[in-house]
Formats: sequence, structure tokens, C-alpha cells
Amino acid sequence: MEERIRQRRALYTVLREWLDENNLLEALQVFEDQFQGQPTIAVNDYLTRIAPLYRDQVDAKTLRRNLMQLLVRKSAQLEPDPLPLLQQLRARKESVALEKKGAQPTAEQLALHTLVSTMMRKLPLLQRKQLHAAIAVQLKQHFVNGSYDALARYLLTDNPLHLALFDDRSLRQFFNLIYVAACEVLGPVIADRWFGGCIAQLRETDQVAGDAVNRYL
Amino acid sequence: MKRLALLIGLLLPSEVFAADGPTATDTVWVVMAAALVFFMQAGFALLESGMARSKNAVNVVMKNYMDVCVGSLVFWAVGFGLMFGVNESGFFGTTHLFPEFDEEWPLTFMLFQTMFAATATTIASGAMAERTRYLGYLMGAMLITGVIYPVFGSWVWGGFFGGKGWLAELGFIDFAGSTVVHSVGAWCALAGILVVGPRLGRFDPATGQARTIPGHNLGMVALGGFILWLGWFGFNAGSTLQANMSLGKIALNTHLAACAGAAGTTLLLALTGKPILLTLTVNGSIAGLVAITAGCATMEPGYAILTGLVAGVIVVAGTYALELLLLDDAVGAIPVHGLAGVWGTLAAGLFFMDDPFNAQRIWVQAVGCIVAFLWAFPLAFAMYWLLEKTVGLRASSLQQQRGLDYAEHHETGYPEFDQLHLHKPLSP
Repeated sequence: MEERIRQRRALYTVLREWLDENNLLEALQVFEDQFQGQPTIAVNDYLTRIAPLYRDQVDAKTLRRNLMQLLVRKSAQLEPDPLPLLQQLRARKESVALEKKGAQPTAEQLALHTLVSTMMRKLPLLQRKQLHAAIAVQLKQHFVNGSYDALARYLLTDNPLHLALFDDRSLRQFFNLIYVAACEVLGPVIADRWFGGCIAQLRETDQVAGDAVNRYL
Repeated sequence: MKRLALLIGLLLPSEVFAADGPTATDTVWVVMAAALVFFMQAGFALLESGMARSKNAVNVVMKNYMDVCVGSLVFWAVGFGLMFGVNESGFFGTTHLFPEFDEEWPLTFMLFQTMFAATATTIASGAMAERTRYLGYLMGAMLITGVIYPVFGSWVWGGFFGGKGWLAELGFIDFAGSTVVHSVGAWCALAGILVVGPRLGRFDPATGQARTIPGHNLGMVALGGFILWLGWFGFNAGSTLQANMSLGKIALNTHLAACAGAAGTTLLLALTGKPILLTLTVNGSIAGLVAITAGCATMEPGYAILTGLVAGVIVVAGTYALELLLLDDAVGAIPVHGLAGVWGTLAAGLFFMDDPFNAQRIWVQAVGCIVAFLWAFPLAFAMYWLLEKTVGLRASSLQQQRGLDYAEHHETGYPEFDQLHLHKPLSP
């Protein structure tokens, strides 16, 4: 895991000197999708693969030399992990794909999104991470054939378009799985308070959304 | 020796009375005692409901309410005959199913014993609270009252209409039911919690640490404890089945053991530096009551205090032991009724009046305790397992999220005050 992050950071550090932001993220995306976790020697193949992005700007040999040097340097000399940027790019692409499919969340689904989003924001980062891990386990058990991925992406991207792919029953189950995971991570008493507090807050601040979310309780 | 023979005679309902038979005063006393035992159901309901979260309060009370109803009907139809019918084999009664009586006294006796059966049944409801489906639980309650409790009861108390149970033949002493009522109920509860599993989030999946799930109303817990205490005077003193001079001593032993139980719990918690919880203290007093139930008529008050004191300690140790074993007993029914019941039964042998510390008697008492477990636990486990596979016993995670009040009964205990909105609003 450490090695993967190190490779990603080294690539980001080297390539950001030569590529604009869009091309840079595209190049990193190619690495993430096809070369992640491979030995350092695969860097050659990788640079060949992304050659169209930098062909006119830099010599491949220079790029490769710089990259190999960086890969053996200390972490402090590398740029921070660009993973959040990559996730944003992926989310944007998925949104475009979902919009092309014509997926539009209903008012009820948007209300549910508001609720889930509020709930997640209320948690400290560490607990949110733990909760995501626990929810992933629950989702794997209860959702199959791509719906698991869609709901996991929803939680990561906070994009309500993903919810548009699901019916009421599935979303009720999804919401309940968040509750089950919260019970496991936070304990049943805090989970009840967290859930109840957020639902009450939604009902107070937006009565229409509060009514709409009843469908999933 | 004469006194001893009289005391042993007290333990056997059919041999209690003089040649004239029971008097009207006896009937008055036993009916009153039956009413007191019935009142214990209110105590159980308050105690268990108070220890549950507010979203499950109605469900817990409903289980207590209905297991008396269905349990009493089943006990009238089947259980009474199995327990007290003519018992030639020593293993179960074979007469008086759907009974009709020409005399008045058996009706009084039946009333009293029906309340006992309901008590044995209701013990499981607390242990399995907050995650058990209503109908599945009630079916289990019917089977406990109809088969598990009366068959074991016939081994100890059987033969009201003739014959004698095989444990009674061995000399097993259980005056009012530490084992017959309480341990049997607790072993059924243990089977229930094994099948139904813990409440959501009760144990941290990463560390296995138990998380406290506080009850919603500790005042109700304390009041429930007091009501149980009051009812226990009927439970123990009523088991004489006659208004005689022994009632005072039995009631005194009962009271002292309850006091000592609470004191034992408090003492242990204080000595170990743990917080002195109301729930554990109330459970300590009830454990004292459970423990003295077997020997309340055959023990000196000093020994009754010792019995209660040890029971109070056992409750604390048992509660923590269950948590270490990842067993979720919502109200502590298994330490209170099971472990304290076993201790009380052994204590009845240990501290038997005029002949204490008789190894033979203690051995018979131990046999009775082991047999109770071997009979009740596997049978209850199989029963609950079958119920889980057929009717469904464990409430789904969605039902647990919403709370069983809403999910099972579509009404909530505290509609005006509930701050936790874990389900859609009830339709007006």
C-alpha cells in the first residue's frame, strides 16, 4: 500500500512540471487503472502509454530518469498524494456518464441524500473512515451486480445522481445498512442519537424534505 | 427428627394437610398469594421495560402481558396435567389434561401454580428483549409453559393427584422453585439469547468489548424491583399452600435474603472500585430472592442472609462473565435467575435446618440443578432454533432501527417525548 502511494506521489511530482492539470490527472488516472502496483520496471510501459499527453513537451528519457530518481527519494521530497484529485476527476466523469444516461434523482432521493450527506458531515474524519469501512462490509453482503459499487461511489463522491439508479426498497435497505454500520462503529446509543438528531434536524429545517425522507425510514 | 419430618412434609403439596383437608382460610391465603405472584408480572414488566430503550418499551411490556395470557391458557390445557397429573412413572403426569374438578381445592391449587408457570415463562422475555420478534417469542412462551416447565416441575413437585416425581424421590428440595421456576426459565433464556444473537452494536466487532445500552427509565426498574420483592412474599410464603405458623419465618427469610442480595452486590462493586449501578443493585436483591426461594422454609434467617449475600455477588460476576462470552442478556436474567437459582438450590441443601452440610443432600441438590439445565437448555435451544427457521425470531436490522414498538405494534411508548426519530411518523 505504501509503495503504491509512493509511486503515485512520485509520478505526480514529476509530471506536474510538464503537463497541465487536465492531462496530469488523465495521466495519473491511466496509472491508477492499469499500472498501479506493478514493479518499477513497468514505468517504461507506462510512459509509452501516456506519450500522447506529453510528446511535444519533454524527452521520454529525461522524464524516465527524473521519475526513477524520485522513486528512491525520501517521501518528504515528494508532493502530497493526489488521490483526492483523482477521486474528484472520477466523480466528474461518473456524473457526466449518469447524466448522459438520463438518471435524475427524485425529490425523495434528494431528501435522502441531504440526510445522508448531513449525517456524514457531522462525524469526525476518523469515525467517518471507520464507518465507510463498516458500510463497505455491509454493502458487500447485501448488494451485488454493480449496485454495491454504485452505493460505495455515492458515499465517496457524495453525488445524489448515484441514488437515482435505485428503487425505494433498495434505498431503505441502504439507509438501514448505514445504521447497522453506525451501531457497530459508534455503538447503538450514539448511533440512535446521531440518526435521530439528523432526521429531526432535517424535519425542522426543511419540512418538505423531512416528509419525503419518511419513505426510507 | 419430628420437626424435620414436618418440614419435609411441607415440601410436598399432596401431603400438606391434615385429614380434614384444606380450610377456607387456606384458600383465602393461597388465592391472595396467587394474586401477589400475579402482581410480580407487573414487576417484571416495569423492570424489563425500564432496562430497555424507549423505542422498545411497549414491546417488552406486551411480551410480559401476553406471555401470562397465553401461558396461563396453555398451562390450564396441558401443563397442569403434565406437571401435577397422576405421575406413576415419575417423569410426567398423565391425567388432568383440559382438567375439570369436582372439588374446590384443586382449582385454588391450579390458580397458584398457573402464576408460577407464567413466572418461569416471562424470564426469557427480559433476556431476549429489544431484538426478538413478538409472535416467535409468544410461541416459545407457549412451549415453555406447555412442556419444558411442567415436565421438569413434575419431577420435583409432581403427583398432586398421585405418584411422585423422580427427583422428589431422591430427596431434592426446592420449596418454591429456585430451580423449578427460575433456573428453568433462565436456561430457556440462555438458549434464546444464543439463537437470537446480541442486539445491534452491543459488542464492538473489532475488540469484542461490551457496550452499555442504558435503559430508558431507571425509576421503573427500581419500582419493578420493589413490586417483585412484594410479590415474592406470595411466591414463597404461598408455597406452603396453607395458612400456618411458618409463613412469618418464610416471609422474613425472603425479605432478609433480598436485602442481603442488594448488599452483596453493593459490597462487591464498592470493593472492586466499580460504579454502584442501580440496575445491578436491583438485580442483586432479586438474585437474593431467587436464591432463597428453594430453602426459605428450611433455613434459619442467618443462613438466609448468607444465601442472599452470595447471590448478590454471583450476579455481578455472572453479568461480567456473560459479557466476556459475548452473550447479550438485556436485563441480566441469566445471572439473576439461573446462577442465583443454582446457588440457592445448593444453599437449600447446605443450610438445611437441623441437618446442615449433609454431603448426600448437597449432592442430590447438585444433581437437580444439572438435570434442570440438561432438560431445559437443549430443548429450549431446539425450540428457538426451529422458531427462528420457521416463524422468525430475530428482528431484522430495520425493525431494530425503527424500534420494536413501531415495527411490531405500530405504537410508541412516549409519542410526545420521543426525541429519536428512527422511523416514519405514526399515521394519525
